[in-house]
Amino acid sequence: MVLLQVLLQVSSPDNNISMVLFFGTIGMLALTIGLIVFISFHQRKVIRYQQQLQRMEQDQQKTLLNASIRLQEEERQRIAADLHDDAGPLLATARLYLNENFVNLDKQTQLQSIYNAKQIIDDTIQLIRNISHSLMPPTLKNFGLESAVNDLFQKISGSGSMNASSRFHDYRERLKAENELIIFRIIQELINNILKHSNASFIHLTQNTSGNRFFIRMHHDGRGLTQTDFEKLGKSNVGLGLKNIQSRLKVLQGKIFFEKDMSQTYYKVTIEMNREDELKPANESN
Amino acid sequence: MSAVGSVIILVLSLCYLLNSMKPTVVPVSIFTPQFFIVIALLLNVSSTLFLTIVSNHYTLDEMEKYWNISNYANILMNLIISFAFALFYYQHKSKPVENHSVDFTSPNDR
Repeated sequence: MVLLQVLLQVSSPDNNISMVLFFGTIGMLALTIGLIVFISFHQRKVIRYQQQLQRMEQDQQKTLLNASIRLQEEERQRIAADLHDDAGPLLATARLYLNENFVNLDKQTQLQSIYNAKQIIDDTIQLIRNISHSLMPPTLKNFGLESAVNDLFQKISGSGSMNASSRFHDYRERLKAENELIIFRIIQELINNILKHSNASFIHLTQNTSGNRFFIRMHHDGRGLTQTDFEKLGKSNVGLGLKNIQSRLKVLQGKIFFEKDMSQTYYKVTIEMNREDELKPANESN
Repeated sequence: MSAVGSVIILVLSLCYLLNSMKPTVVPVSIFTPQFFIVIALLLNVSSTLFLTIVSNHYTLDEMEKYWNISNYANILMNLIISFAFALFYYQHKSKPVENHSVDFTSPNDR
């Protein structure tokens, strides 16, 4: 109503101030309302986008959790199978040799039975030792990541199927034991994948540090993954091992990059993590 | 002078709004009581800015004709500020209030 009055005043040609007042007030109000509307829509959009991001992150975490649970169950099944199928029958056989009739046998047969039972018990001890080592490699526990990785690569190379070598350039001080185990498991998983899928003739691992960053790089000449493949497999239901790598790296707050070498001949996998707060003096770890 | 004050309020309100639009890690709603108070001030100042600027060029009788703009702007501002206070009251009412007082009397004394 007031603005209408002003508009009537504006219509008279000699009143410039009324015109300024009318258009100025209308303009300022329009600008302010426009700004408020813009902020409201922008805020709604931002909140919706962030909620979508959160949902995606939750889904990703759920997938990783499911993968680690499945892996844990598989590991348990494997151990149960090893104990049930290998250790169980061996011990049962040893028991057969030392049954109730054992005292009624002649001395020669008794000695033969004792010898056979001893052989079987030795085999069982070896088997249980192997299971225990596969759960926690003693080299890793006692001598650290460098020795454990070198040992692993020597074993692969020793099989004759592949040329494997590793070199640690800057590993004077050990990482925390739990982090060493996580890195070792990641390397094991990557090597397992290379052996299973890549058909490579060599694997080479190098370790480096740059400032606070700790790097492990692996090269191989077989069929490999690129970062896009890795991300795609991470979101799909397959690729349990890769999801396991992702969840382990999340614990370390590390990153992994899959790429093809500049020469397009080799595939390169780089594990990167922060070394800050990870340093542990060698004497403390012993 | 009042025009200068209006411009300062306008600039500060715009600064607040721009600051509230900055991206945050956790999604936070900007529609808080403070936001509505700033909006009320902004609307009031922007609708009366030109009135205060041109007021020097009019006599008091002439100004009375246009002063209703300021009155309507004040009503709008007060309404929005009331809404902001109501929002503040309901936001705090829904939160449980922690009771830090400790009753040292034994159940038998009560």
